[in-house]
Amino acid sequence: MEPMVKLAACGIIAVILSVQLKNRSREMSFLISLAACTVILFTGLVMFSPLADFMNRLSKAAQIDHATLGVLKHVCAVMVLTNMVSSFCRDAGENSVGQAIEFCGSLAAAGCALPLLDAVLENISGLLGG
Amino acid sequence: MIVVMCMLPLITFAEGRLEEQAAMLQTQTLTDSLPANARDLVGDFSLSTGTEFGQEFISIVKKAVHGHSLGFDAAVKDGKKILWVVLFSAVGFAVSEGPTARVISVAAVGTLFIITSSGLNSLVSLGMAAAEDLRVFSQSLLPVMASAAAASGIPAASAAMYAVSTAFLSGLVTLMNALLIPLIRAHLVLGAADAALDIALFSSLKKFVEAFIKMTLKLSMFGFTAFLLLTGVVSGSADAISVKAAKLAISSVVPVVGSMISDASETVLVGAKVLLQSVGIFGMLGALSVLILPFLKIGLRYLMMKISVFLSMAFQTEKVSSFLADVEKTVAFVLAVICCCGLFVFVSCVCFLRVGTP
Repeated sequence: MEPMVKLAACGIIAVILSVQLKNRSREMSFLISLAACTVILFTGLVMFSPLADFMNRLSKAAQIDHATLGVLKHVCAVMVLTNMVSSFCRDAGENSVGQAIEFCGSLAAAGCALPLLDAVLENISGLLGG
Repeated sequence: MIVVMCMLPLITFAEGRLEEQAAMLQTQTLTDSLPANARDLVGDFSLSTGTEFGQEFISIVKKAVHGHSLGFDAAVKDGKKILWVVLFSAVGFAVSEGPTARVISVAAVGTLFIITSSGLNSLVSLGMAAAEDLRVFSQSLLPVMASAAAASGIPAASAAMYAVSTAFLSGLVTLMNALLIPLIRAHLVLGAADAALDIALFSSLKKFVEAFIKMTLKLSMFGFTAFLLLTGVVSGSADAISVKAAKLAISSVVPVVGSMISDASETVLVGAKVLLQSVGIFGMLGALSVLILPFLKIGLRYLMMKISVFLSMAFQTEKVSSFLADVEKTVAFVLAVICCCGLFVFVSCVCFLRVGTP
């Protein structure tokens, strides 16, 4: 509860400062929002650790095959990063850069997912063929 | 005391007669036609002495639950894997939107497909093997039941019911191997394609396959039950009239001992009816012992999938939940097909018993 209150306060202060500075200096406004996002993201990662622990325990208990399920991890990580960076770019008014990042992110995710697609196709041929 | 003394030879005669009839009908082949697992579950059921259906039923279920591995650990392990994927994709969905969320849902559905398809394939094989075992068992059971029913005075009804039961059960097993199982497998693939790609064609195809499987099973079940009941009732009534007419003819045409001969023939018919009842009970227990393990294993998987669907719905992962619901339906279809085969044998036995022992 306490870290979330701190994060909420940090977010509100950053937004007020950013809005105040937007008309005087767009660069400063953008840097403030970038800094706030970085702080919030890292604190959020700390908050994510109990869930990560739980998922680690779950993966050990289920003897998860990381070759298959690791792909989902990579795809999620790539897509979350893509989404955040493209949002930053759009906030800074650089829509085309944001779009390019999204396109590259999608390609990178598709690249990560190729072993998964291979396995899916193999399973489909096994199911329908046998 | 005198009455009991007089009854003893009759009882001995009746028992000897029953064993003789059992040997003539080759009832020993019934136990041999059961697969080894099912034979262990049925235990030392004797056709000549018979036993109470309820007690044997409970004993078979207890033996199946306590003495065999039902794949509980594997089901829980798969459940944990599914929960892991649902949690991970829920975290991914929480921080992404639009096309990025779409990519995550494709990866999540692909991962779930890999986790569930191998388990489902083994369940399908288990169901197919159970249906085949049941068909082999029914090939031994139904002729014996028909012979016992014919010996108990219903030759026309037993022949008609034997023909209907055999034709429907063989038809269903053939239909299952040739059409239903490939369609059930295709349903899983279409479910994955629908959830991952969100194309209307896959959704329509999936719904069509679902409706087709449901309709085929319902039609075959209704058709079989209606056909068997009608055949049994109509031919059974004709047989009952023939038996009554024969008894009347014997007692009225043969002077003095006519009624005694008629009563003696009644004793033989009663002996055959007792045997029919024993074979009928054994048939139902045999079918139960063949199906109980696959039923429990597939049922356990079905419950696990049901829980997974509820959990995924709680995390609001729409596409993932939709795919898990399709997997649940696929497992339900496998369960429905083997239940349908089992019900065919059960209903046949009940109809033979109903017509044979009015």
